[in-house]
Amino acid sequence: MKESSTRPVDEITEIVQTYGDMLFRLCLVMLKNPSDAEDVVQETMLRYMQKSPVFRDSEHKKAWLITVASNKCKDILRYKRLRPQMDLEHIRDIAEDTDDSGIIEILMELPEKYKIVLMLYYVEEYSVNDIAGIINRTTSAVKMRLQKGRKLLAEKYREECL
Amino acid sequence: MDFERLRSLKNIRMSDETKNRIICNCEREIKTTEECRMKRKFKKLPALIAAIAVCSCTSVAVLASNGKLEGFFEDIKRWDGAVTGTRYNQADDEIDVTAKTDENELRVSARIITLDSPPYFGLDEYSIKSYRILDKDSKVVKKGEVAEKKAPDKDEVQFRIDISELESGSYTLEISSFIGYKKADQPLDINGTWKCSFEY
Repeated sequence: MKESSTRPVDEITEIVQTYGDMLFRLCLVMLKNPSDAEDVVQETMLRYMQKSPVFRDSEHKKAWLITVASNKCKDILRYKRLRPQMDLEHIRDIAEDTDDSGIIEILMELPEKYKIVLMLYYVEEYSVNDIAGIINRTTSAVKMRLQKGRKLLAEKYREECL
Repeated sequence: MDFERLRSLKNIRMSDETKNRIICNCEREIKTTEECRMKRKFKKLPALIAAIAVCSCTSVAVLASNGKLEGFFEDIKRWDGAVTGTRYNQADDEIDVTAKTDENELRVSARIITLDSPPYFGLDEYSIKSYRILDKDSKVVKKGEVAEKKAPDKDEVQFRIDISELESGSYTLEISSFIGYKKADQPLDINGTWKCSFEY
Protein backbone atom coordinates (compact mmCIF):
# COMPACT_ATOMS: atom_id res chain seq x y z
CA MET A 1 0.00 0.00 0.00
CA LYS A 2 1.53 3.25 -1.09
CA GLU A 3 1.41 6.42 0.97
CA SER A 4 1.08 9.90 -0.40
CA SER A 5 1.57 13.24 1.35
CA THR A 6 -0.94 14.44 3.98
CA ARG A 7 -4.47 14.55 2.64
CA PRO A 8 -6.25 17.87 2.06
CA VAL A 9 -7.87 19.11 5.23
CA ASP A 10 -11.38 19.33 3.79
CA GLU A 11 -11.38 15.57 3.21
CA ILE A 12 -11.69 15.01 6.95
CA THR A 13 -15.36 16.04 6.98
CA GLU A 14 -16.23 13.50 4.31
CA ILE A 15 -14.36 10.66 5.98
CA VAL A 16 -15.89 11.37 9.41
CA GLN A 17 -19.41 11.55 7.98
CA THR A 18 -18.97 8.35 5.94
CA TYR A 19 -17.15 6.10 8.39
CA GLY A 20 -17.47 7.77 11.78
CA ASP A 21 -20.61 5.97 12.97
CA MET A 22 -19.35 2.55 11.87
CA LEU A 23 -16.04 2.99 13.71
CA PHE A 24 -17.80 4.42 16.77
CA ARG A 25 -20.04 1.34 17.04
CA LEU A 26 -17.10 -1.00 16.79
CA CYS A 27 -15.03 0.90 19.36
CA LEU A 28 -17.99 1.27 21.72
CA VAL A 29 -18.54 -2.49 21.77
CA MET A 30 -14.84 -3.13 22.31
CA LEU A 31 -14.20 -0.46 24.93
CA LYS A 32 -17.67 -0.19 26.52
CA ASN A 33 -17.10 3.52 27.04
CA PRO A 34 -18.41 6.20 24.65
CA SER A 35 -15.66 8.74 25.47
CA ASP A 36 -12.89 6.23 24.78
CA ALA A 37 -14.69 5.17 21.62
CA GLU A 38 -14.86 8.78 20.38
CA ASP A 39 -11.17 9.26 21.12
CA VAL A 40 -10.23 6.17 19.14
CA VAL A 41 -12.35 7.35 16.22
CA GLN A 42 -10.52 10.68 16.30
CA GLU A 43 -7.11 8.99 16.46
CA THR A 44 -8.05 6.75 13.56
CA MET A 45 -9.21 9.67 11.43
CA LEU A 46 -6.05 11.59 12.26
CA ARG A 47 -3.86 8.65 11.27
CA TYR A 48 -5.80 8.33 8.02
CA MET A 49 -5.17 11.99 7.26
CA GLN A 50 -1.49 11.91 8.22
CA LYS A 51 -0.47 8.52 6.76
CA SER A 52 -2.61 9.12 3.69
CA PRO A 53 -2.49 5.54 2.32
CA VAL A 54 -3.65 4.78 -1.20
CA PHE A 55 -6.52 2.29 -1.41
CA ARG A 56 -7.72 -0.05 -4.15
CA ASP A 57 -11.38 0.74 -3.46
CA SER A 58 -13.77 1.91 -0.72
CA GLU A 59 -13.95 -1.56 0.87
CA HIS A 60 -10.18 -1.60 1.20
CA LYS A 61 -10.33 1.84 2.85
CA LYS A 62 -13.06 0.67 5.25
CA ALA A 63 -11.07 -2.44 6.20
CA TRP A 64 -7.96 -0.30 6.85
CA LEU A 65 -9.92 2.04 9.13
CA ILE A 66 -11.42 -0.91 11.05
CA THR A 67 -7.98 -2.49 11.51
CA VAL A 68 -6.43 0.74 12.80
CA ALA A 69 -9.35 1.39 15.15
CA SER A 70 -9.46 -2.14 16.55
CA ASN A 71 -5.67 -2.14 17.12
CA LYS A 72 -5.97 1.16 18.94
CA CYS A 73 -8.81 -0.29 21.05
CA LYS A 74 -6.58 -3.22 21.96
CA ASP A 75 -3.83 -0.79 23.03
CA ILE A 76 -6.24 1.04 25.30
CA LEU A 77 -7.63 -2.16 26.79
CA ARG A 78 -4.09 -3.28 27.51
CA TYR A 79 -3.29 -0.18 29.52
CA LYS A 80 -6.70 0.52 30.95
CA ARG A 81 -6.78 0.50 34.75
CA LEU A 82 -10.36 1.43 35.40
CA ARG A 83 -13.10 -1.09 34.85
CA PRO A 84 -14.33 -0.64 31.27
CA GLN A 85 -17.93 -1.31 32.32
CA MET A 86 -20.52 1.32 31.56
CA ASP A 87 -23.57 2.03 33.65
CA LEU A 88 -26.64 0.40 32.25
CA GLU A 89 -28.15 3.89 32.01
CA HIS A 90 -25.33 5.01 29.69
CA ILE A 91 -25.82 1.95 27.51
CA ARG A 92 -29.52 2.71 27.31
CA ASP A 93 -28.81 6.35 26.46
CA ILE A 94 -26.49 5.36 23.64
CA ALA A 95 -28.68 2.55 22.39
CA GLU A 96 -31.99 4.37 22.76
CA ASP A 97 -32.77 3.97 19.08
CA THR A 98 -32.06 0.26 18.98
CA ASP A 99 -34.70 -2.35 19.45
CA ASP A 100 -32.86 -4.38 22.02
CA SER A 101 -30.41 -2.81 24.43
CA GLY A 102 -30.31 -6.13 26.36
CA ILE A 103 -28.53 -7.96 23.57
CA ILE A 104 -26.10 -5.08 23.14
CA GLU A 105 -25.21 -5.17 26.81
CA ILE A 106 -24.55 -8.91 26.59
CA LEU A 107 -22.46 -8.49 23.44
CA MET A 108 -20.28 -5.98 25.29
CA GLU A 109 -19.63 -8.57 28.00
CA LEU A 110 -18.19 -11.11 25.58
CA PRO A 111 -14.44 -11.58 25.17
CA GLU A 112 -12.99 -9.20 22.63
CA LYS A 113 -12.17 -11.83 20.00
CA TYR A 114 -15.82 -12.87 19.72
CA LYS A 115 -17.22 -9.34 19.93
CA ILE A 116 -15.32 -8.10 16.93
CA VAL A 117 -16.22 -10.96 14.59
CA LEU A 118 -19.90 -10.81 15.60
CA MET A 119 -19.91 -7.04 14.98
CA LEU A 120 -18.22 -7.31 11.60
CA TYR A 121 -20.41 -10.21 10.48
CA TYR A 122 -23.86 -9.19 11.67
CA VAL A 123 -23.67 -5.40 11.91
CA GLU A 124 -21.19 -4.42 9.20
CA GLU A 125 -22.17 -7.46 7.05
CA TYR A 126 -18.68 -8.55 6.07
CA SER A 127 -18.12 -12.06 4.73
CA VAL A 128 -16.03 -14.58 6.63
CA ASN A 129 -13.21 -14.15 4.10
CA ASP A 130 -13.22 -10.36 4.49
CA ILE A 131 -13.22 -10.63 8.28
CA ALA A 132 -10.27 -13.00 8.10
CA GLY A 133 -8.37 -10.34 6.13
CA ILE A 134 -9.26 -7.55 8.53
CA ILE A 135 -8.30 -9.34 11.74
CA ASN A 136 -5.43 -11.27 10.14
CA ARG A 137 -6.68 -14.76 10.90
CA THR A 138 -7.61 -17.80 8.78
CA THR A 139 -11.20 -18.25 7.60
CA SER A 140 -11.54 -21.37 9.75
CA ALA A 141 -10.45 -19.35 12.80
CA VAL A 142 -13.11 -16.74 11.99
CA LYS A 143 -15.79 -19.43 11.58
CA MET A 144 -14.77 -20.97 14.90
CA ARG A 145 -14.97 -17.57 16.66
CA LEU A 146 -18.38 -16.88 15.11
CA GLN A 147 -19.64 -20.25 16.24
CA LYS A 148 -18.32 -19.85 19.81
CA GLY A 149 -19.41 -16.21 19.94
CA ARG A 150 -22.96 -17.11 18.93
CA LYS A 151 -23.06 -19.89 21.49
CA LEU A 152 -21.82 -17.63 24.30
CA LEU A 153 -24.22 -14.84 23.30
CA ALA A 154 -27.18 -17.22 23.25
CA GLU A 155 -26.26 -18.77 26.62
CA LYS A 156 -25.86 -15.40 28.33
CA TYR A 157 -29.04 -14.10 26.73
CA ARG A 158 -31.00 -17.06 28.03
CA GLU A 159 -29.56 -16.58 31.53
CA GLU A 160 -30.07 -12.85 31.79
CA CYS A 161 -33.03 -11.89 29.65
CA LEU A 162 -35.35 -14.87 29.65
CA MET B 1 -31.75 -17.18 19.08
CA ASP B 2 -32.04 -14.67 16.27
CA PHE B 3 -28.56 -13.19 15.87
CA GLU B 4 -29.83 -10.82 13.19
CA ARG B 5 -31.09 -8.69 16.09
CA LEU B 6 -27.50 -7.57 16.49
CA ARG B 7 -28.14 -5.52 13.39
CA SER B 8 -30.03 -3.06 15.61
CA LEU B 9 -26.56 -1.84 16.64
CA LYS B 10 -26.55 0.05 13.32
CA ASN B 11 -28.83 2.61 14.98
CA ILE B 12 -26.03 3.69 17.30
CA ARG B 13 -24.46 6.86 15.98
CA MET B 14 -22.15 9.62 17.15
CA SER B 15 -23.81 12.97 17.74
CA ASP B 16 -23.24 15.73 15.19
CA GLU B 17 -21.47 17.73 17.91
CA THR B 18 -19.01 14.91 18.46
CA LYS B 19 -18.35 14.61 14.74
CA ASN B 20 -17.78 18.36 14.49
CA ARG B 21 -15.41 18.20 17.43
CA ILE B 22 -13.43 15.38 15.81
CA ILE B 23 -13.26 17.30 12.54
CA CYS B 24 -12.08 20.49 14.32
CA ASN B 25 -9.47 18.61 16.32
CA CYS B 26 -8.11 16.79 13.27
CA GLU B 27 -7.98 19.99 11.21
CA ARG B 28 -6.13 21.79 13.98
CA GLU B 29 -3.69 18.92 14.48
CA ILE B 30 -2.91 18.73 10.77
CA LYS B 31 -2.41 22.49 10.50
CA THR B 32 -0.15 22.48 13.56
CA THR B 33 1.89 19.64 12.07
CA GLU B 34 2.24 21.55 8.79
CA GLU B 35 3.32 24.68 10.64
CA CYS B 36 5.95 22.72 12.56
CA ARG B 37 7.18 21.26 9.30
CA MET B 38 7.51 24.76 7.85
CA LYS B 39 9.34 25.85 10.97
CA ARG B 40 11.96 23.14 10.50
CA LYS B 41 12.50 24.30 6.93
CA PHE B 42 13.40 27.79 8.18
CA LYS B 43 15.79 26.55 10.85
CA LYS B 44 18.82 27.76 8.92
CA LEU B 45 17.58 31.35 8.76
CA PRO B 46 19.13 33.91 11.10
CA ALA B 47 18.09 33.45 14.75
CA LEU B 48 16.28 36.81 14.78
CA ILE B 49 13.88 35.73 12.00
CA ALA B 50 13.36 32.30 13.64
CA ALA B 51 12.66 33.97 17.01
CA ILE B 52 9.76 36.00 15.65
CA ALA B 53 8.16 33.06 13.78
CA VAL B 54 4.70 32.50 15.23
CA CYS B 55 4.40 28.79 15.76
CA SER B 56 3.93 26.35 18.58
CA CYS B 57 3.64 22.59 18.39
CA THR B 58 1.36 22.31 21.40
CA SER B 59 -0.99 25.22 21.12
CA VAL B 60 -1.58 28.05 18.74
CA ALA B 61 -3.17 31.37 19.61
CA VAL B 62 -5.82 31.60 16.93
CA LEU B 63 -7.06 35.01 16.01
CA ALA B 64 -10.09 35.46 13.84
CA SER B 65 -10.00 38.03 11.07
CA ASN B 66 -11.77 40.52 13.37
CA GLY B 67 -8.91 40.28 15.93
CA LYS B 68 -10.90 38.29 18.50
CA LEU B 69 -9.53 35.19 20.15
CA GLU B 70 -11.05 31.91 18.98
CA GLY B 71 -11.28 28.90 21.23
CA PHE B 72 -9.89 25.51 20.36
CA PHE B 73 -10.17 21.93 21.52
CA GLU B 74 -7.20 20.24 23.14
CA ASP B 75 -6.81 16.56 23.92
CA ILE B 76 -6.14 15.56 27.50
CA LYS B 77 -3.47 12.87 27.38
CA ARG B 78 -2.41 10.29 29.91
CA TRP B 79 1.16 9.36 30.84
CA ASP B 80 1.34 6.82 28.02
CA GLY B 81 -0.01 9.19 25.39
CA ALA B 82 -3.52 7.77 25.31
CA VAL B 83 -6.16 10.45 24.92
CA THR B 84 -8.45 10.41 27.94
CA GLY B 85 -10.56 13.47 27.30
CA THR B 86 -10.94 16.86 25.68
CA ARG B 87 -10.96 20.41 26.93
CA TYR B 88 -11.76 23.66 25.22
CA ASN B 89 -9.32 26.54 25.67
CA GLN B 90 -9.15 30.27 24.99
CA ALA B 91 -12.89 30.84 25.17
CA ASP B 92 -12.38 34.39 26.50
CA ASP B 93 -14.19 36.13 23.66
CA GLU B 94 -16.96 33.55 23.38
CA ILE B 95 -18.56 34.06 26.79
CA ASP B 96 -19.46 37.50 28.06
CA VAL B 97 -19.18 37.84 31.85
CA THR B 98 -20.21 40.66 34.17
CA ALA B 99 -20.58 40.79 37.95
CA LYS B 100 -22.39 42.96 40.44
CA THR B 101 -23.19 42.68 44.10
CA ASP B 102 -26.64 42.15 45.52
CA GLU B 103 -26.52 42.37 49.33
CA ASN B 104 -24.30 39.44 50.40
CA GLU B 105 -24.18 37.80 47.02
CA LEU B 106 -22.14 38.37 43.90
CA ARG B 107 -24.39 37.96 40.86
CA VAL B 108 -22.27 36.74 37.95
CA SER B 109 -24.00 37.14 34.61
CA ALA B 110 -22.73 34.97 31.79
CA ARG B 111 -23.85 34.99 28.18
CA ILE B 112 -22.53 32.56 25.58
CA ILE B 113 -22.05 34.66 22.47
CA THR B 114 -21.41 31.81 20.01
CA LEU B 115 -24.29 29.63 21.12
CA ASP B 116 -24.69 27.94 17.73
CA SER B 117 -21.08 26.80 17.47
CA PRO B 118 -19.14 23.98 19.11
CA PRO B 119 -18.66 23.39 21.97
CA TYR B 120 -21.72 25.34 23.11
CA PHE B 121 -24.20 24.00 20.59
CA GLY B 122 -26.22 21.26 22.25
CA LEU B 123 -24.99 21.91 25.79
CA ASP B 124 -27.68 21.05 28.33
CA GLU B 125 -26.22 23.00 31.25
CA TYR B 126 -23.10 24.76 32.38
CA SER B 127 -21.64 26.22 35.54
CA ILE B 128 -18.54 27.98 36.83
CA LYS B 129 -15.84 25.39 37.49
CA SER B 130 -13.12 27.62 38.90
CA TYR B 131 -13.10 31.20 40.14
CA ARG B 132 -11.03 33.41 42.43
CA ILE B 133 -11.82 36.68 44.12
CA LEU B 134 -8.84 38.98 44.66
CA ASP B 135 -8.69 42.05 46.85
CA LYS B 136 -7.09 45.35 45.83
CA ASP B 137 -3.67 43.95 46.75
CA SER B 138 -4.20 40.98 44.40
CA LYS B 139 -4.47 38.61 47.33
CA VAL B 140 -6.86 35.71 46.86
CA VAL B 141 -9.63 36.07 49.45
CA LYS B 142 -12.00 33.45 48.13
CA LYS B 143 -11.92 30.72 45.53
CA GLY B 144 -13.99 27.79 44.48
CA GLU B 145 -16.63 26.62 42.07
CA VAL B 146 -20.33 27.25 41.59
CA ALA B 147 -22.32 24.05 41.92
CA GLU B 148 -25.54 25.46 40.48
CA LYS B 149 -25.92 24.63 36.79
CA LYS B 150 -27.75 26.75 34.28
CA ALA B 151 -29.07 25.99 30.82
CA PRO B 152 -27.41 28.10 28.12
CA ASP B 153 -29.63 30.88 26.83
CA LYS B 154 -29.28 33.54 24.16
CA ASP B 155 -29.79 35.99 27.01
CA GLU B 156 -27.56 35.94 30.03
CA VAL B 157 -27.83 33.48 32.92
CA GLN B 158 -26.90 34.30 36.49
CA PHE B 159 -24.70 32.44 38.90
CA ARG B 160 -24.49 33.38 42.56
CA ILE B 161 -21.45 33.48 44.83
CA ASP B 162 -21.83 34.09 48.54
CA ILE B 163 -19.51 36.93 49.55
CA SER B 164 -20.84 37.57 53.06
CA GLU B 165 -17.45 36.80 54.60
CA LEU B 166 -15.68 39.53 52.62
CA GLU B 167 -14.99 42.95 54.06
CA SER B 168 -16.15 46.06 52.26
CA GLY B 169 -13.85 47.11 49.48
CA SER B 170 -12.85 46.73 45.86
CA TYR B 171 -12.39 43.25 44.46
CA THR B 172 -11.76 41.45 41.22
CA LEU B 173 -13.52 38.27 40.19
CA GLU B 174 -11.38 35.99 38.01
CA ILE B 175 -13.01 33.02 36.31
CA SER B 176 -10.60 30.56 34.71
CA SER B 177 -12.97 27.79 33.76
CA PHE B 178 -16.57 26.97 33.04
CA ILE B 179 -17.81 23.39 32.75
CA GLY B 180 -20.38 22.26 30.20
CA TYR B 181 -22.68 19.27 30.55
CA LYS B 182 -24.34 17.28 27.85
CA LYS B 183 -26.29 14.05 28.12
CA ALA B 184 -24.18 10.95 27.42
CA ASP B 185 -21.02 13.06 27.05
CA GLN B 186 -18.21 13.67 29.50
CA PRO B 187 -18.34 17.13 31.14
CA LEU B 188 -16.25 19.55 29.11
CA ASP B 189 -13.91 22.11 30.67
CA ILE B 190 -14.22 25.46 28.91
CA ASN B 191 -11.14 27.44 29.83
CA GLY B 192 -10.27 31.07 29.44
CA THR B 193 -9.74 34.22 31.46
CA TRP B 194 -12.63 36.40 32.56
CA LYS B 195 -12.10 39.29 34.96
CA CYS B 196 -14.68 41.60 36.52
CA SER B 197 -14.22 44.27 39.13
CA PHE B 198 -16.84 44.88 41.77
CA GLU B 199 -17.40 46.87 44.94
CA TYR B 200 -18.78 45.35 48.10
